Parts: sequence; structure tokens; C-alpha cells
Amino acid sequence: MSALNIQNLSCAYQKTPVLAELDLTLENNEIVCLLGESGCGKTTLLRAVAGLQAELTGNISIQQKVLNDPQINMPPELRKIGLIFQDYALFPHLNVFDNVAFSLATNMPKSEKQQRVEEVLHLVQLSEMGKRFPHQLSGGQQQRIAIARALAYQPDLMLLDEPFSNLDQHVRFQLIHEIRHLFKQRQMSALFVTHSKEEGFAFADRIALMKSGRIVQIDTPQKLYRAPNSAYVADFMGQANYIGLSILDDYSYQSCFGVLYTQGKITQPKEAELRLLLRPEHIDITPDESGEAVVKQVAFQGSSQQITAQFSGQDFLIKYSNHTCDSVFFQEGDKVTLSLLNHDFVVFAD
Amino acid sequence: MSIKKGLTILLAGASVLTSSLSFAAEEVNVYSYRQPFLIDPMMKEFTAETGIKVNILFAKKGLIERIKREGQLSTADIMLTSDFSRLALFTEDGLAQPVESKILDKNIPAKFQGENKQWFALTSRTRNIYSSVERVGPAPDITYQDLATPAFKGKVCMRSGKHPYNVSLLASIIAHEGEAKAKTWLEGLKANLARKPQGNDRAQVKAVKEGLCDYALTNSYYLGKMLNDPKQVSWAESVHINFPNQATTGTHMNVSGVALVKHAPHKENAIKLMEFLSGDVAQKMYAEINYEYPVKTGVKASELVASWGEFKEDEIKLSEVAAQHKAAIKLLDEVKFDL
Amino acid sequence: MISKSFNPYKLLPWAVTCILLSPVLAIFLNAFSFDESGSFEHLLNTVLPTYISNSVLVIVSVVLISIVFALPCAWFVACCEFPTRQKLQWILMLPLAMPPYIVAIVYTDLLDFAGPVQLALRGWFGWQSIDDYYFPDIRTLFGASFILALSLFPYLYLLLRGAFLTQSAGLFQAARTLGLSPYRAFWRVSIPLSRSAMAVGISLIAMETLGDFATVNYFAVHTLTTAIYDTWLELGSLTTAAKISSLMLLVLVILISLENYSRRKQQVYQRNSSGSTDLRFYLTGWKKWGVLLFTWSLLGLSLFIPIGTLIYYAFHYFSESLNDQLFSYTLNSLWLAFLVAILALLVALIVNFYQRLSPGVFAKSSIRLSSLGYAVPGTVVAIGVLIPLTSLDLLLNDLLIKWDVSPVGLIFSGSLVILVLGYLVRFSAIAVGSVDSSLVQVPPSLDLASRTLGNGPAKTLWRVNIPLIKKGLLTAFILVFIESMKELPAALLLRPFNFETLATYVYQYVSDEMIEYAALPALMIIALGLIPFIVVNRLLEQKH
Repeated sequence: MSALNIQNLSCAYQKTPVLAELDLTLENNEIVCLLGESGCGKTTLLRAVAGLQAELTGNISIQQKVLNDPQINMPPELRKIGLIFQDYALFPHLNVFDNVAFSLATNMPKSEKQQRVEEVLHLVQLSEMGKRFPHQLSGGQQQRIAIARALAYQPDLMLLDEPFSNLDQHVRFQLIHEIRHLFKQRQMSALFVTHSKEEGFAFADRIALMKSGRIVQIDTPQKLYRAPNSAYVADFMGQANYIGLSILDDYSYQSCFGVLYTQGKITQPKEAELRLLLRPEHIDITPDESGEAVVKQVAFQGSSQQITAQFSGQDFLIKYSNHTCDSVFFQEGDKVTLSLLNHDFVVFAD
Repeated sequence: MSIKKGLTILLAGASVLTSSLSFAAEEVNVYSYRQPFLIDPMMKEFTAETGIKVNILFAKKGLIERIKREGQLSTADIMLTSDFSRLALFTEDGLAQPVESKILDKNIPAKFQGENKQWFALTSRTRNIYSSVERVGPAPDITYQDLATPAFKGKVCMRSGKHPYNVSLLASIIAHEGEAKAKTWLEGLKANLARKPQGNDRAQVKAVKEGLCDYALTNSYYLGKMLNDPKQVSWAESVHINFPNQATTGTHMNVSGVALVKHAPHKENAIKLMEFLSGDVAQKMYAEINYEYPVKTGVKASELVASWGEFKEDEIKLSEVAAQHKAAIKLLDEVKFDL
Repeated sequence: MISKSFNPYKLLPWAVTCILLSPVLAIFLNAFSFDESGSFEHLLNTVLPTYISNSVLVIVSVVLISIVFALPCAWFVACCEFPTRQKLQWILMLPLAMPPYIVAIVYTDLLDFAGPVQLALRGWFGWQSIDDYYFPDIRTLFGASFILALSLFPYLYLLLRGAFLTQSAGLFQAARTLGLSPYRAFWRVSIPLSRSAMAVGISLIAMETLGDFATVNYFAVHTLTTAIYDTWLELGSLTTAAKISSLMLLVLVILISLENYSRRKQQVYQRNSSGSTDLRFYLTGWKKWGVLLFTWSLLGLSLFIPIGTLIYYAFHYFSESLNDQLFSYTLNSLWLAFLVAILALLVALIVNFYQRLSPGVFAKSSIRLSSLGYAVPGTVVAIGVLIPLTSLDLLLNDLLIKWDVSPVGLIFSGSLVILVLGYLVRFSAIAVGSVDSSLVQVPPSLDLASRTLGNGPAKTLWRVNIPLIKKGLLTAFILVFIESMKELPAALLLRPFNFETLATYVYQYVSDEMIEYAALPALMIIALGLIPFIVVNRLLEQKH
């Protein structure tokens, strides 16, 4: 049984498909991030799970509980799902205590209510704030209260819609770690929507990258970064250079960096046009008066330099670490030599 | 240009905008508690005869207060009312002025004139008790006092006790019998009502027709009006008109009247209008169009009104009745008549 | 350079407030003068307790019935999707154009024991007398409240619909995902969030009810307003009448302040929730039919039946009621209502922007004070206006005589000036409230942005704020226009000679319950109120 199982989910808005036959499974205690550009359908997917999206087809279930199938469209209040909104959606007419206690049964004894609220307020480290009203809290505090409110409901699954985008950088990552820790501690499964890969990296166990209503690739952040299944994924996950390849034999390619030898057997057909993904950190750069490459642009970034260099008629983006005392500070016009660092080749056929 | 001159020009300009102000000599301004459609025919006739334009301002409430506030600047010449208690309030507040006119004295009998000739009645009407043709038949011996006796329980309909017609009837009873007896009467009447006081005089006749009650307390002229309305004639035909208290004090009379405003700017025209309204032509029109009794001796009531028969009028002086006006209002409150 | 010198523009809002307040103050001052008649004690010992309880009961029932009418309508129209919803949006506002005193006559006429409905029932079932069957008595407190609510509920509807539309849809959804059914989410989230709209709507309705005389009077229901008229016009004691008016106002002010106080901690920042349209509930089956039945029968009662009855009468008495002056009365009504509506807008802008530019207790109280006249019965306002204006006239004429200039007579109180002022005193509250509620939704940062971009306060007002609150301004205009078309008691008493409005013309027949003759001009009042409504709504809809 999985924490969330989505099969064949489709949804259209005014005849344009927003979700197209989408499948997704969340394991228990797993945090999955839906990542994508705006309009890719990630928020629609979240709303569909929450039961806030009308007119969809497909199956959604949590553990054994069916939320959507051809016969059923369970109303949101029966789904037992915690939904965290981008704007927090705290009720402005209720104070923090009443907001958190909102989902508790009205006939619950006062002492029990008190205990439940205090427990979750303690979890989000805002125990003293019960009497305050939402507008008296900072953005980060409001988001914690929103999470506390959802936790008090003891949901089977937590859904978060761009929960950190209204927070400033400093607060954001601190809160991400805190909440991830909290979810893990409470064994809470969560589906989380964002357009920022950094948030996804920091918060999720797995990331599902979406495009035009489909999941292009779903895997751990590391895999997604290092082994993208398409140029789209590669570009989305980080800066990328591509060089053309032609196949020499079963174990080697020809490239502008010379012959590259692979570990496994090459499976692509001989005549295919291939591109090799090179992350900026995969290229080494050394000053060389007789080098064939020329530095065109340097951006100093503290711990590293981001360098654009021209080589064999192509611009390369290179990340150069300044971590040793003999690090070089490059300048525009410097002659350099580029070489490839050892890494797993990611090759796309166009 | 001096300030004074500028001010004069400014104010002259402003006064052009004010339609109430007019320095034309040939006009007269009337504040009226009576609806324009009731008095328009007479006013048109007056203008036709004299060339004096009549301006009317009609309201049901507050006209006296307005004149009071306007003080010596008031443009009102004449106050027309539909009952004498308002006339009494008006003169009490010193808002009227006496009128010495041979014509008025000749046309209007002394009992229809206010103290110091500060007001004059123009028409009179009786407060009648209508009885159901179907269930009661004619009741020539009925009295106002009967309506408060146990035999009439649940059989009487009337409009709000606070309506001027009912107030003046109550005031006349206070004047005749004293406050204590009047109160007992009022309580008895209240206990006999078929329903809470509501609607207007016509509505009471309608209620008799529909069998809600057997007796209705209503003014005389409404019967004439209903008989002349094709939709209401059936209501009128369902009742007999009775003149109460024939054997005792006589039928209570109310009047509509006129007073000359103290600061009337068109005094001459105003007196002309008053004289005209008391004259044969206007009195005849009151009788024929509105089915009221003319006050001028010699002018006959309309044929229809006359057909209801001769009757004995309550001869008590109107000023004596008017003096009990406030007492009557307070009594109505004490008994909670309308509640 | 910041100039600290005296700025005459700052006096403007206070001048406006003082002018609007002067009639109410005049009444108050009268209340404190010595009264030798003992009328107040007399009333207190006799009918006053009943009048008070009646007033409270009428207000409470009108408010409750209005909520029952307005709340579901507002929610259906704002948050659901069903056939005719688009049309209903604005048709539901139209009952505002119905003068309650006319609706009252139509219904008392129809439902009376001797009226056509009961007549027909007796005919069908062969009942003979009143004892044979039960029929609810229309001339009761409840009947009066019901009729008043029929023409007043759109105020609440208008405000609640606005509140529901601007509420963040996310909050409602948050409640749903926290385990609340739509029904319970509505009560626990939507309703509390629309509390301020609810409060404004209820106080408008309460004030309008308190000031009403004509309608409740038809139903033989006696309230504090009856007491005011009795004591003052029959017993001649303005002091007592003023005392009662002041008491009424005091209670009202206390209630409104209490409500404000209880909301002090809530600060609801409205968010422009985009795409709330696709969040509407699609109603199907019995729910759809239920909603259709509810909304359209409400309109039937408040709009179609009265208008139908009037058309019937107008048709049958057409030749009697059509006359050559009707056209000029119509014109009078039209331009007077237009003028008053424009002036009320100006008042609202002045008072509200004063508060926006220099917020504080004084500014806030100027808003409140300028609205007090709304709760005062029309005739009392009329006298209240007469007191300062006639004094002004008398003073002016005395001065002129002293300066050897020919006196000008009653240039204020004898002209339309007094009528316009009377209307303004009564109806500014509507415009002020409407502009206030749309202005608070304009974030102050926009003003600051404009100011830092080199626009002065006046330019900011003109270039930023007014365009943003255009809708509120239009609403204010229509509401005041319609109220002025319907207004009766002040018009009756304050108009100059030979000046009739449609309402005063209607009244001379209505006052004698001759509705047949009043039907045609009454229809004109309604039509003239409906037309701007429809036109403006069309304009607004096209823009969106």
C-alpha cells in the first residue's frame, strides 16, 4: 500500500489538457516534490488530490481509500488531507489557537483540544503565540501556524502548494529543514509543489519534474541532476553545456575534446546525432599561453568563479572552485586549456 | 464696487432661482393639509374669476411647524386644513391673524368661526355610523355611546384613533361628558372592535361589506365618493348611513377650514380667496364635487347628500371641542387604543 | 518644501460635516430644552414601552427576514453556478427601486380580508366568514416587517455578494481540506469573514427601518416614529419629539460602535483571488431547482407582483391618471435625484479622502457624524433642516435691512436649496458608506507610489483613487439616486410652491389609499429607478 497512488489522471480546462494520463506513486513516509514551470499542471495535480479540482478522470487513492475513480469523487472534507497554501490561508477572523483548533471536533473536550493545539504549536516552535491574530505574525510564523493547523488535523497525507515562495531566502531554507525534519519525525508523507529546484533539492526525497501535464522524470534529486533522461530535465536541474558526439565503436565516441571512452557498451545506432551533457563542474580549466580556448567572461562568486570560455567555435560555461590557495583568478582574454573531468556520461540522441 | 452692492446683485441673482419667491402681485400662496385634487376645481375657478394665481403646497404633516420656523419671512398666505383641531393649534401658536370681512361674516355663521375671527370653517361633514344592510338594516336611533356597549362586541370597525376625525369625535365627547366618562367610552369601544384600528374610512365600509364587522365609523362624504366610483359602488350599497345621537346631543360635526397667516405677504389676495371659498360658487362646488356640507346658509347640499335626510347637528362650539384636542390624544395613549 | 501654514482645504470636510450635522444637532439641542407640557412623562407612562418594543421587534424582524432573503441569494450568485445566475446578479438589486410605501399598499390591498386573494379563496372554498378559515393577518408587525424586508434586502445582498466575491477562495478551500463540508465551511469561514459587510448592511437596514413611518403605519403598527409624530404634530411638543429622536439615535450609535469594537482585532486584508469563477459549485438536480425557486419567487414577491398590480391599475385607470403635468413632475424628480446623487458623491469623496489623507479619530468621527441623518425619520429631518436654514434666512434679512438693502426673503429655506440639503442629510450616509468600503480595498501603497512619482494629494485622488473606486462611486450614485426618487416625507414638507415630484404626486392619492390613481406615477418612479440600474450594470459588465 502506498501513501498516494495516482493512475491515468487527466484533466482539461476549456478543452486544453492540463493533466494528461498522469501516474504517480508516493511511498509511505516519503516526501515528493512536483517541480515544473508555471502552467505545467503541478498545482492542478495537487488540487486534484485535495479534491478541489472539478472535471477530472482517472484514479486517486490513499492507502486503501479511493478518492477518485470513475464512480467516486470524494469531497475534500472527507479526504483527510492537509493542504498548505502559498498564502497560508489562515483565517483572519480567528486567533492562532482557534485557527489550529479549527479542524478539531466542536464537541471535543476543552482540555483535550488545548492539549492537541499546544502539542502541534510546540512542534512548530510557536507555543506562546496562541492569542495572536494572523496579521500580527511574520510570514514564516504564519506558515508554521498553517502547518500546525494541518498537523492538528492528523492528515494521512500532506499537500504543500508553493509553501516557501513568499518567504525571504534566509528564513526559507531554515524552515524547509525544520519542516522536513518534522515530517520525517512524524512519518508524514507529503506532496509538495514548487518551481524552485533548490527548494525541491532541500525538501524532497524524490522530485517529479512535470511538463505539459505529464511527469517527465521522477527520481531522487541526485539522480535527476546527474542522470536526467532528457535535455529538458538536464536544463531544468542546472546549467548545462552540450557537445556533439559521433560514435567510433562500441566503447568510444569522437568529440571536440578528443576520443571519449565509455564504461558500458554504446547502445545508440551508429548514425545517430548525439549530444553529451557537460555540467560546468565537469570541465577543468587551466591557464595555458598556448591553449586553444579563450576566456570571454568571468563572474566571481566567492567560493567559485563562473567562467565562459570559447573553444572549438562553442561557448562553454565552467565552474572553477577557489578552494585551494593556488587557485587562479581568470581574466577576460586569458588563453586556457579545457579538459573533461571524470564523470558518468549522459548522452542524448536528438 | 461696494460689498453692499455686490451682495445685492448676488442675492437678487439667487432669488431668481427660488421659485417660491415671486414679486408678482397677482398671486396667493396656500399651505394645504387637504389633497390638491380636492381643492383644485375651486382654485381654478378663483383664478378664472380674479386672475390671481394660486400656488399650493400640500403636505399631511408639519406645515404648521414650517410656517412657525419661517416666521415673518414666510411666503404662506393661507392655511387650509381638513379638520378644526389643526386650525386650533395654528391659532394657538399665534400664527394666524384676524380677518375683518363683511362677506365672510355674512357667508359663514358665527359657530363656524374661530375666536377673534382667526379662522373660518368652509365645509362641514358628519361622523356617521354605517350599518350593514344585510345584517343590521337602518339604525336611526344609534348613538356613539352605543358602540361601547356589550351588545356591539366584535361588530365595530374604524380607522386609527389618532386620525384627526376620530380625535375630534373623542374631543367632543370629552367636552360633553368629561374626561372620565369619555375614557370609559373609549375603553368600551376598543373592546368592541372587530379588528385593530387600521386602513382609511373607505376600508371600514369595505370590511362591513365583506362581513368582517356590522358597523363602521366613517365620514359622510366617503359614501358619496364610493357611490360614484364604479368599482366601489357595491361597497357603498352594502351599508346604511345613520346619523348618530339624534335623540341626544346630535351628530358630531367636523369642519375643513381656512386661516390667514400672520405674516401673509399677499394679504388682500388671500382675503379675496377666503371670501371666494365661502361664496356661493365655491360652496356649491364643495357640495357637488366633494359631497361635503356647505357652511354658507342657503347653499344646498348635493342632491345625493340631501337624500340621506335631515338630521340634528351637535351644536357644541367648535372651540370648546378644540380645547380638548390634547386631552383626547393623551386619552388615546392611555387606553392604548391603536395598539 | 513642506508648508505648515494654514490650509483651507482641510476645513472643507469639516464644513461639509457641520452642514450635514446641523439639522441633527438642532434636534438634539431641542431635546435638552425644558419641556413644560409633560408629554414625555405622559408617553412614558402610557404607550412608549409598547412603541419601543414594537420598534425593536420591527427592526429585529426586518433584519432577520432580510438576512434570510439576502444571504442565500448573495452566496448562490457569488459562489455557485446555475442557469440565470448572470441575470440574477443584478435583477436581485432591483427591488431597491420599489418604494416600500407602495409595496405596502399593494400587499395590504391584495391580502386584506376584503382583498382579492381572500375573496377568491372564499369563493373557491365556499367559506362564509372570517371564522371559517385561517389566513395570516397582513396588518401585523410581521406583515410590516416582511414588506419592508422585501424592499430593503438588496442592500444586504449587494454588500454580501461583494464580500463573498472578494473573499480569498483559498480560505474556503482550506476549511474544506480541514474536514468541513461546504455547508459548515460557509458558516465557519465565509460568514465570519463577511461580518463587516454584514454589519454595514444590517445597520443600513436598521436605520432605514427606524426612519420609516409610512410603511409601518399602513400596517397599523405603531413604533417610536409614531410617537415622534404624535407628540410633535398633535401635542405640539417638539422637545419631546426631539427627545425620542435623540434616544433612537443614541441607541443606534451605541449598537454600531459595539459592533465596531468587537471587530477591532480583526483586520481582513482582501486579496484579489483570481479565478474564483472556476471555483463555483455547479448546481444540479434538486439543488438547482431549489435555488431557482428561492431566488425567482423572492423576485416575484418583491418585484413582479407589485409591478404587475400597478400595471393592472394603471391600465384600468389610465385616462384618469394620465395628465399633462405628469411629464413635468417626472422631470422634477429626475433632475432633483440626479443633483442630490452628484452632491452626495462629492460629500462622500470629501469626507472619505480626508480620512485617507489624515487618518485619525477626528476624520473617523466626521465619517460617522455625516451619516447620522440616515436614521432620522424624514419629517424630523425636514424640520431639522428648517431650523438652521430659516434662522440663516432671518439673520440674512435682518442684516440686509440694517444695511438698507431690500430683503430677499427665504432664499434658503423657501427654495430648492432646503430640499436638496434635506435629501443630502438623509442619504449621504449611503454614498459615504459605499465609497468608504471601496476605498479601504485600495492599498495605501498605491497612494504612496503616486505621491513619490510627483503627484500631489489631489492629483493622486484624481489619477489613482477615483479610477480604482469607479465601481463604488457608480453604486453610490445609483443608490442615492433611487432613494431620492422614492423620498417622500422631506419632499412633502420642504418643497417650494408648485413643485411636485412624482413621489409627492403619488402621495396625495396614496394618502387616501386611492392606489388606482397613483399607479401610473408610481410605475414611473420604479421605471426611472430601474433604468439607471440596468444601464450602469450593463456598462460594468461589459468592462469585465
